[in-house]
Parts: sequence; structure tokens; C-alpha cells
Amino acid sequence: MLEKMKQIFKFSSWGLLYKFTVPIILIVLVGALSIFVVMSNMTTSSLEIQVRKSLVQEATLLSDSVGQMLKDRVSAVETSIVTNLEVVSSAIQASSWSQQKKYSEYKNSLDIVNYARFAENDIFYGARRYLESLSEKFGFLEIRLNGTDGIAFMATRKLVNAGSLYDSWFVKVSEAFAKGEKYYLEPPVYNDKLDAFVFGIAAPILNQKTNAPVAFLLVSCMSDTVFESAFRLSGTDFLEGSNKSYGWIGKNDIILSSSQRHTVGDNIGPNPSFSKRHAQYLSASFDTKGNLVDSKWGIVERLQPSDLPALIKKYDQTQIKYIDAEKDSPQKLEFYNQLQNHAFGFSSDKQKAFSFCATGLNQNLNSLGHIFVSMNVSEYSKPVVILQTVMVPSIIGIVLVVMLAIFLIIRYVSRPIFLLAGSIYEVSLGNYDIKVPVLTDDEIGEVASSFNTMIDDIRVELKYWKRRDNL
Amino acid sequence: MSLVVVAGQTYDETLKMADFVTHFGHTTVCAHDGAEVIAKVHSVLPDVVLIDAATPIINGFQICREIRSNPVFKKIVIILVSDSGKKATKFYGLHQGADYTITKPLDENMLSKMLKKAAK
Repeated sequence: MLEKMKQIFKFSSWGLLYKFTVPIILIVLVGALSIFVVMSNMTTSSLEIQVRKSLVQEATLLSDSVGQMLKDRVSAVETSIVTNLEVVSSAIQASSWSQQKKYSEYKNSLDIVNYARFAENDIFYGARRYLESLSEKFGFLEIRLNGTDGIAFMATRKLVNAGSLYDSWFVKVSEAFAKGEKYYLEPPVYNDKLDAFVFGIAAPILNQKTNAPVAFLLVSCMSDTVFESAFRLSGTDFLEGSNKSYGWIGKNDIILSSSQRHTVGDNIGPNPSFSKRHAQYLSASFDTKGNLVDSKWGIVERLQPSDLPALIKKYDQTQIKYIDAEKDSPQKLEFYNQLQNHAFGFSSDKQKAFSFCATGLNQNLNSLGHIFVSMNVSEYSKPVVILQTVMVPSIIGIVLVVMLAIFLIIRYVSRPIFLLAGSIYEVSLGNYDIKVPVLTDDEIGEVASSFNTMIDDIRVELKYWKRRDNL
Repeated sequence: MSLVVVAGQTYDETLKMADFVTHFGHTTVCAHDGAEVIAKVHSVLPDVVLIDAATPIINGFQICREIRSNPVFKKIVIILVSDSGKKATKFYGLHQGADYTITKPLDENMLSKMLKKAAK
């Protein structure tokens, strides 16, 4: 058996093999290699695209939601303030003009009635008490009743003076009420003095007979309550069962959060494996000056508190125009593009995790804060692993099979050629009585049969000449 | 130790080949053409036949065919000495019934190995 194998190996047409097999194998190898390179590149790039896409979707969703949340929150606060202001102004009017005689008309506002009842001799007393309660209830920065005659009552939750805020308002408010508007709303603006976003609402208190405003109720509210809502949103609603982390940096109060929730109801905590890389900057809380306030899960190694201002500046520079009303506006598209460009902006380990930031803007396109999303990419590296573990061996296997096939084909081809060549040699030694076996029905077989015909003719010729010689 | 019938292309070659074979310790019977080889095979019944492919009158391939056609000579080992180093000739020789092929000029080691194998 071994001997036979040796013979087969020995008497294969290596010349043919060199001529055909080597180039074919080279072509197969080069092809396989190029396919491998192209596929791995494709896989890698598609991996990147996938991750970026997914992150962009995530951040878009998040910033959409946060934006919506902020909006809802603001409008909710506004609505409640307006409602209450209307009640307050009505109550004040009631107590001042009908002096306790028409309480029954204000059954829906019993609080006001109660407060007003105490204010038999001081029509503003009840109102002031109510202002305080409102301030407490909604966390107002400041609430005050500004009489046109200069009398003002003020309830302040924080010892902060909004200062010029009211002065600048006053003209606008007067103009608005002169036009007969029900209330005036000041859009949120960034106040340097307070280092916060502040918005305000004003409602008039009207003279019942003349319908002219006798006083304004002015309320200002800092946006930190809104930020808190947004943070809560980013910290809870989007984390169930995902392997992503979210963080929120408020413009005013910097809050960084790392979060990984496996099941509903768990305490917010980082994924142990994930936090090793990302808790550094997603798990600590900082105050306005960048001091570390709280680091529950946090290891603040990579990102020092001193890095934060630069960080925020960086993301302010790449500020993304987020306009809720125009879903497919150019600004929105640009927003997505910029998100994609910054997909790696915050990544500490490009191979393992991606993270980036989206900026939430208010209606004046000022940034309210930044949302960070980071993501473990291990699930996206599966194609590469498959490529490495499956593709390479299979390519090697294919090359081997091709080589074997070519070898066998050439052996099959070379056998009749060898026999033919041997026969011709035998004829050259003087034996004209042979017949080459016609093994195949192809060109080689044709050559063999032609050779047989030729030998037959020579044999006849020789016989003729021999007979002639004998004669 | 085996009995070897030797036949070369020429008289000198036959003697040379016979020298080799006797040198390795085998008994040699010389034949000077193909017909004689066949006759010797019939008369002495050798263990090994060492023949050139181009023996006079009857060539080596014919001898191979002749020996293989007779079941009496089934156990005879045929070593074919081919003139050219072409593979086709060797393959053809093996196809005609030779057990081993060897090219000229004869390689002592290879020949001794072949004879040893044949003796087994």
C-alpha cells in the first residue's frame, strides 16, 4: 500500500503540477487572503458603524426624552404657577373688594380663603402667607407681589437676590398687561449672577371695577428642579437591562452618574466590569466648582475634578443644535452628524467601550447640560471573533482541498500520457508489435489511437520491404 | 543470496552489471539479449531479473510482459534499468510488470537496496 502510494506520488506529472498547480494555488491563496482582508475590514467597519449607530440612537432617544422631559416639566411648573397665580390674584381681589362677603364664590381655593380670612385688616397678609407656601411647594427661587403703588411682598426660599431680573421684567410685564394678556411668561435664560437658568412668570391683580392692574405677582424659578428631573430620568428610565451607562452634566450643578440597572427596582449601581473603565467619570458627583461631592461607586482616576471645566468647554464648543419642533431639520441632521463624529470623543478604551455626549438645549438653544452615554462593545466584537476562529481555518482547509483536487486531476491526466510516451520509446527500441492502450476518449486518446494506426502502417511497410529483400 | 539473471544493452554493460551484482554477493547468470534472458529464466528460474530496457532482439518491456504472463514466474522480481531518466519510461516499465526501475549510470547503493528487498 505504502509502496503504491509512493509510486503514485513519484509518477505524477510534477512538471504539469508546477505549470498549473502552483499558479492556481497561488491564485487561490491570494484570493482567499484578499477575501479575508476585505471581510475583516468590512466586519470591523460595520462594527464601528453599528456601534456608532446604536450609540447615536441611544443618545438621540435620551436627549429627545430629556428635552421633552424638560419641556414638560417647565410647562407643568408654568401651568401650576399660572393656575395658582390666578387663584391668588382672584383671592386678593376678593378679599380687598368684597371683604369676606363672597368667600362662597371661591370654594375651589380654600387655602386662599383661609389665608384671606386671617387678613381681615390686612388684605395682603393672606396673600403673603400663600406666597410663602407656594415658594415652599414648588421650590421657587423668589415670589413676590408687586403693587403698582410700590408696595411689595416677597417670599424667598433661597437667600438669593435675582437683582436686575425683575427690573428688566417690569417693563415687559407692564407692556404685556397693557395689551390685556392674562399672564406673562419669561423664557428660561442663563443668569450670570445666579449661575443658573431662571425663568419667571407674572400675573396681574386687577381692579374689579376698572379692570386695571393694581399689582403684579412675579415668580422666578431656578431650573435646578428641572435638571434634577432630567437626571432622574437619565438615571432610571433608560437603564433597565442594558449594558450602557448614562451620565448627566448640568451646566450649573455638575452631576455625573454612572448607572447600570439589571432589574427593575435595583438601586442604581455600576456594572462591576463596566465600572472598571467608566466609573471614573460616570460615577461621581461634583459641585459647581468641580469639587468631588459624592463618589458612591466612583473611582475618580481618569477624570479629575479639575478636568471638568475643560470637558464642559469642549462639549460646549461642539454644541449640538437640538430643536424639538423640527424633527428633520438641517440642524437636527447636523446634530446627528456631530454625534457620530464624537462617538469616540469620550472613549477611554476604544476597543472595549464607546461613549459620547449629547447636549440638551433649551428653546433659546442654550445648553442645559450634557448627556453621556457609554456602551460596552463586547457584543459587537462577535463578528470579528467568528472571523478569526472560523474563517482562517476554513480558508486553509479550502486551499488544502483545492491542492488535493488539482493533484488528483493531474495524476489522472498524466497516466495516459506516460503510457503513450513509454510505448513510443519501446517502438524506438525496434518493437513494432505493440499497441498503445486507448484509455480515454479525449485528445490524448486520439493521439494514442493515431499512434496505433501509424505503427500498424509501419508494420505493413516493414513486412513488404522484408519480403522484397527476400526475393 | 539470490540468483540473478543480468542482461544489458551491450556485452560490456552486461559484464559491468554482473560485476556489481556479484560484488553484493549474489549469483549471476549473464544473458546478452532479450531472447536469451527469457531462455535463462525458463532454465534457471532466478529470483531476480536485472535487465536493461533496451536489450537487443527482445527489449526489456517485452521481457517484462513475457515473464508476467506466466504464473510460474510470479515470484521473480524484475529490476528494469532504463537508459533515460525520463519518468514516462519508468512508469511504462512499471506498468509492463517491472517491480523496480533504476536509471543509468547505476547507483551502487540503490541497486544493493533493491536486491536486498528482492531477496526478502
